[in-house]
Amino acid sequence: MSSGITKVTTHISPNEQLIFERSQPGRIGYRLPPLDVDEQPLEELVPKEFQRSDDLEGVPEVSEVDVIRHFVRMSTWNYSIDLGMYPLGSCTMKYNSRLNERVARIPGSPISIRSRKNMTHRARSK
Amino acid sequence: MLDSLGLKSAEALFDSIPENLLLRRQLNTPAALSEIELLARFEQMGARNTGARRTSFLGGGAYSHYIPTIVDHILSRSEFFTAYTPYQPEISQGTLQTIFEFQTLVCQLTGMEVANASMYDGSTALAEAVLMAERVTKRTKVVAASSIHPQYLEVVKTYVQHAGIALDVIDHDQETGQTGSSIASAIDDHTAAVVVQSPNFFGCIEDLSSLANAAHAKGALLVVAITEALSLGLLKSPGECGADIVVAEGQSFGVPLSFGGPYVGLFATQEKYARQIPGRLVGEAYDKKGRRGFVLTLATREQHIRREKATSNICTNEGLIALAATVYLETMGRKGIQEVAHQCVQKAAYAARKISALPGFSLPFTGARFNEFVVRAPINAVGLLAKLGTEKGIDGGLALSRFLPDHQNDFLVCVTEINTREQIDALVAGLSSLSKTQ
Repeated sequence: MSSGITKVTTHISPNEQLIFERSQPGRIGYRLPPLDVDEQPLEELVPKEFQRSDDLEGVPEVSEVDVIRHFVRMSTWNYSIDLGMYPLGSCTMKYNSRLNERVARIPGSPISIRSRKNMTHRARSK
Repeated sequence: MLDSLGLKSAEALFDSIPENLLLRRQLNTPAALSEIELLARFEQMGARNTGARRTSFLGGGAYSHYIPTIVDHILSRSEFFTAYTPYQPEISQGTLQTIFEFQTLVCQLTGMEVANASMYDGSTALAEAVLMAERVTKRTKVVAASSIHPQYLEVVKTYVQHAGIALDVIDHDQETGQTGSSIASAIDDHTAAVVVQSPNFFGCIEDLSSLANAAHAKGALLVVAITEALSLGLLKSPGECGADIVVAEGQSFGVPLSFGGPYVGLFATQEKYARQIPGRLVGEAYDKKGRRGFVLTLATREQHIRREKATSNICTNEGLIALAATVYLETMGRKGIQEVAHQCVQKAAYAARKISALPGFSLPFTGARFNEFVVRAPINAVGLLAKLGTEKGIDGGLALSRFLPDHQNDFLVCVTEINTREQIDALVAGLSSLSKTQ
């Protein structure tokens, strides 16, 4: 890894705020099709006393690119098996062929459940 | 490596194994396939799963929702999906900060003060909540509503059967489909917790505030389970209703159905019980120069303290799936979560109006609903749903007789934002024509 190579500049390693600190009222990062059925007054369906009254105060309001940059920046703060060897993780920290990821995403794939399970095991601790 | 070990060959590593136990031939397994061959094989097998392409109105604990494209994109960052569990905060700040954000979002949605880094799934989270209630109250009786998902109840029974906890299951009201006020008479001074699900297995919203009062009157905790977490976008949070522990299945938050897993359990409680919370927790911390970082905290798992003193021997969290939920919630955000919940309620109400207007069909329960409801058909539901699948390509719902043998004609229908009006109309037309021909 260190064969005497010196980069001309230091790596960008930005500190990243919490997403809640980036939130701007009214900003959105999604789009749904408009409701295509006849609407019934909400109070007739769910009594007022069962409805939220806090308007989801505090839940972030950010754009799609805000979310992408947020997580990509945070990812650079992780060491991972794809970055180098990890002498811990007796049960699961092994390199897995990228083909597994592709097969897991084939619609209706019979392996999808097994492969995705492997993915969570990697984040496990024993 | 062999040089430093002073060995001549890799085979010498196995010298301690007696010669007669060594397999001196190739394993009897099929030859390895190339990528091209393997992909073709799995694409063929996948194409045979025709059920995966049906229009679906299945719910009952697993929900089909829209997943924004960026969720899978971010999960595929290998810095996240090949990272080890974050024992070393110096090299795990990415994972630790995402878990901290996940916990904060869970608190905001459930209306609670503290949430853990996640559990296996909703059902195991519920069982852990029951064990936690026993630790907090030092009482050994638990009163549970029969309107909890039957599989969740089974998991709870498995956990408590050898833990000295008696489980008392109280029948729901046959008219409303909700847990009635009669549950109060089952709560006494030995009751550790009252356990309910809302919206419950029949899709009905429980009156959590009344249930909290009934539990607290006897010094018991209210444990609330949620299988459809997107209901939190519209319904009053369990925390606001007085719940002491809230658990939920987080699959609705950006996690594909994947034939049943892996999913992710949400677990939240009040701060005064934080030391009894199972699993692990990420906290905010500062170094001596005042710089912010995130670290695992309150780690009372069996590797750190004596096993019998550990709050849980599940030390794991569903790291990658919790990340999916975090990306989903941040992408949809405050407005998106509310809009999905709103569309679910309206579309389910539209479907319920249309189906209940069909001759012979009715809705047996009167309780208010979110996006699921029980339909009573004029004929056996299993046969009707099977025909709907094969003849119309629609999975019309979940037959209740699978869990409740006395509900032969009943089935549970779930409608979400991804079901179009056209699909709902096709379901209604299919139910109408197939119930006539028999």
